[in-house]
Amino acid sequence: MPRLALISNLDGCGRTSLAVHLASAFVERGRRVLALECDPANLLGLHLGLEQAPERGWASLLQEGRPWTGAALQNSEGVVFLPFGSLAPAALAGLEATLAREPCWLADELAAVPDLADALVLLDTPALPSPFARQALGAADFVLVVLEADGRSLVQLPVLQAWLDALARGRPHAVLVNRLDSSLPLERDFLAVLQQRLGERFLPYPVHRDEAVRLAFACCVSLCEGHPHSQALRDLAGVAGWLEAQPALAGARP
Amino acid sequence: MNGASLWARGLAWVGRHLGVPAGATAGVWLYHLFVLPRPVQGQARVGSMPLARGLTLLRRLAVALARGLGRRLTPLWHPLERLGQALVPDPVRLVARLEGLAMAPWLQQPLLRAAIFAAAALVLWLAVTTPFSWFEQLLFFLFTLSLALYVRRMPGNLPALFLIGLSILVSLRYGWWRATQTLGLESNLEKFLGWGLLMAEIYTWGILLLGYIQTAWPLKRKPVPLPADVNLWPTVDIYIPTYNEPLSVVRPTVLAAKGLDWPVEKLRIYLLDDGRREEFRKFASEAGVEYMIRPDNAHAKAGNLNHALPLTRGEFIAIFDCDHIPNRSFLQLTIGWFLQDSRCAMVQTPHHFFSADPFERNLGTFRRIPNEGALFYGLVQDGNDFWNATFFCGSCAILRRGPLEEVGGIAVETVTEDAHTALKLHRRGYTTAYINITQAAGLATESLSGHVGQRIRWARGMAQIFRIDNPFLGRGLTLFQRLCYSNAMLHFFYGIPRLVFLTAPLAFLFFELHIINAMASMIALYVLPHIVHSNIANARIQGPFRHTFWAEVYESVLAWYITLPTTIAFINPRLGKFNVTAKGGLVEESYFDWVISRPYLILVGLNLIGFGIGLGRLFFWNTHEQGTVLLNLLWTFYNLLMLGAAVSVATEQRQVRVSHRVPARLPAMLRLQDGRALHCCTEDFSLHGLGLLLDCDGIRPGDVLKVSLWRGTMEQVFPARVVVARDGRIGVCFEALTLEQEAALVQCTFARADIWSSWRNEQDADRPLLGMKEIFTLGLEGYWKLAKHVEEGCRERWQRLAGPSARDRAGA
Repeated sequence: MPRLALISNLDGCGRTSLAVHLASAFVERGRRVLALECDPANLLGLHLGLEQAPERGWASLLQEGRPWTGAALQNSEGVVFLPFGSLAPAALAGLEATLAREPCWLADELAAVPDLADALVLLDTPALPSPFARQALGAADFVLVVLEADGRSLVQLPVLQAWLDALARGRPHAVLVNRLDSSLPLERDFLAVLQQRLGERFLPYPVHRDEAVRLAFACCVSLCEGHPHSQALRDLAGVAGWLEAQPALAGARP
Repeated sequence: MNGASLWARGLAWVGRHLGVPAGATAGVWLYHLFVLPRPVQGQARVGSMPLARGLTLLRRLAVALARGLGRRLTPLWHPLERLGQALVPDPVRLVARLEGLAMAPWLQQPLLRAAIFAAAALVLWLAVTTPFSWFEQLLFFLFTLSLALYVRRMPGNLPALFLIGLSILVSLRYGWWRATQTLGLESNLEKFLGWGLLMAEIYTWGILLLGYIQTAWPLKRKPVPLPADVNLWPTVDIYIPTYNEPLSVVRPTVLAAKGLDWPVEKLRIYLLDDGRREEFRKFASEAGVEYMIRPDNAHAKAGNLNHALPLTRGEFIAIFDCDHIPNRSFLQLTIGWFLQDSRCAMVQTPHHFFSADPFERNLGTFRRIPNEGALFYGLVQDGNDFWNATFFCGSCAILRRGPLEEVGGIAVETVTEDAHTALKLHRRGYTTAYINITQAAGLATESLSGHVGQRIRWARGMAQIFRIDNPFLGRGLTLFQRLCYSNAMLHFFYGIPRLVFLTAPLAFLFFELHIINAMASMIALYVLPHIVHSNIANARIQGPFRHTFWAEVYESVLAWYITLPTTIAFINPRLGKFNVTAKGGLVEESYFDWVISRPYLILVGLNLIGFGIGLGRLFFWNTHEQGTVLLNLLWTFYNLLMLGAAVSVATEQRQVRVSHRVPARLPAMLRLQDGRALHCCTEDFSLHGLGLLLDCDGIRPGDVLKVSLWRGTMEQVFPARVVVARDGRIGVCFEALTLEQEAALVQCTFARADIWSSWRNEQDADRPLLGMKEIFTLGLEGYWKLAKHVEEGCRERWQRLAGPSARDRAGA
């Protein structure tokens, strides 16, 4: 059960939509996938085709003392996902406190789920230093760091490195540039600098900024269905292929 | 019963069936054949119409004959095949074992080798000189032919050598017979013409033999990897000489040279402008390359290069014609051999053209049939390389500075400075190498006159070298280097022999001169094996690089023009001048080049008249030697086809694109104004636009967008405007690119390392019999085109004549 965490210390760099489309891309490649939302924002369900954010999620079940995997859903493309669910502020604070006490909670819980043997688990997270992101970082076999081609990313690079050193020691990671607008010279320059700084750790398929991603979300269709010729879809297929070739993510195929 | 009476009887038989009275005139025959039978209505009457009856009869006869022959021949053929299979069950293993045997140590003993050679020479002597009756000669031909047909399917180089051997044997046999049995000519005129024909034939035998030697074992050299330590890589100067070419042609070459994969501090680019143009100086400084001019234009391109030589310092000098756009990998692939072999003075790569040359354009064979240069760059240079005789071809090559300075720079004594420079290097004992991987591409000459002009220059230059620095004489060359150089030079003397072949049958048809004293059947029995075997051997060796019969097409077109320059240069090598080939022009309207095709039109006229006379002699008068007439008719017919192809080449087809589009599938991205980014791939590219394969919903002509292309993982973005959008295809043209963008575009397209590698695979395979059909249609097409242009010309002239008189009437 290889686990892939999408991590960033930037707000709004498109982790959730990336997780969703990557999940679709892996399903397209014949892989079983579980997308697990570690984000109280509770938006994953909307991205995967629900009309409104679900009340019931793994966090709410946990709160009720029931088995937390019971909230799993599957969309028409075959992506299995566990939404976070809606949680009252007090309950959320309690969960966060628990997580802060038990840094390996998520890793242990995931290891105890028997059905996931050959599935790839995608962990969608809020921005660091959220305790949920730290849990995901601790549980991941491979960390996919999501950045954008801008100055913010460049400045945050050392901070991010510190987090990785502290929590994901020894586990492989790669840096993916999302929402690249290559028509802007500045973004191309930042991309080149990032690539040069990161060397081997730079994932060679940046995902382009593409209005098709937002259009698909607005129309409640998958990218593949609504915009089959979009560059973002093509880039994501490249990313999925690249990730699948990483030894840490190689799982038994169905 | 002799031939004439048989013919008369056959004619009477057909006449009876067609209802032609005995002893009718030709007019009556024509009337009965074509006019009398009116269009047929109803099945019942088919049989009653004379022509239809005749045709049905003929068809039945043909079918019966084919069936009968098939039934007789098939059982004959099968045992032959089975016998072959029984004798050699596994040809691949046999070839491998034979190759092993040839390398066996006990065979290396000089005495044994000499004995084997002596025995082989004896057998050859017997096989060549033993006189045969017609039947024995026929059996001999059938024997060698079946051997060749069986062997030619075997893989490897050894069977190719065997086919070469068979071809040499059969041709020698023909030559011996020709020299000893057929020269008993009567009048002095016949003697003169007969000996002339023999000389022409001796020339072609010689060239055939030299060609076999030259291409016996193509080396197919692989590039040597460079050392991992970049500090060990040498410094390189790139020379881009230019004289009168427009800047638009030179720009991509300079920008591609800037992008060569080489450490920046070890690479300097020099634009050598013999035109001394201000805009070139400006461009050079903008692009960041060196600009160099000189006070005079002495010795043209060679002088230009030599002027730069002492003013630069790179250890190696790469030379690109100003319209040859180098691939980024050029230096990486070529420098390795210099580091491996310290005596290596020059590495050459092929010349490749991404636009159609006049032959390809006017005959419609672009990327389908190997062009004129394909044989040289695909095979001959690889063959030369085996004998350490790779020629320098003036562009797309890299030289070591030391040896080049030692021979006094680029040679200036002749107009083909490149080949002469290589010859000088070889004389000093340096080696040269050929890497048959296309690493640069350029524009082909636009018009036939330009193409012919270029070939004239090569022919003249080669003739000059042959005279002033003959490769057979002088020191420093190995025997095989001498042979390779000689072939390269003698090859250009094909003008006179080709013209002799194009006119030889006319001597008989017009004046009843017998220039070969032999029975027609015997001539056929000797000359056919020679032709068939040389074609089988050449199809095997040259197949992918030159299709059967195409050498004749190329030579026939050029023969007239290179005859005079080669002859003059041979007599006095100092005469003649250098001419630059113009490139980058347009042919706005399809037209017929009357000036350049005039000699061919005359030859066509003569051959047509000869053919008519021959037909007459076959049927109506003087019918005592029909065999000879038939042979000469066949020859004339073949000549007419070749001339038809030559005429066809002279019809310049319309060519309106300003820049040439290169078909290629490259990934691309379109960023639309609504923020969407679409993935697609290119259909073709040029310096001004792209053709894209994309479902174009929502994209309309006039839309402004950004196109991305990739060079490796580097994305480059270009502003563009949609020009056409329909049927899943979008054409965009670039909008005002900056210099950086232009450089990036060249890097993403023309300069890609692998962009030209697939061209050869897309060509049709050579199939000699199909090739014959193709030549046939090409020849006929030539006459059709000619007729059309004659008609147009007449109409125009008529209108011009009619015009003033019409005005006069209007005035009155």
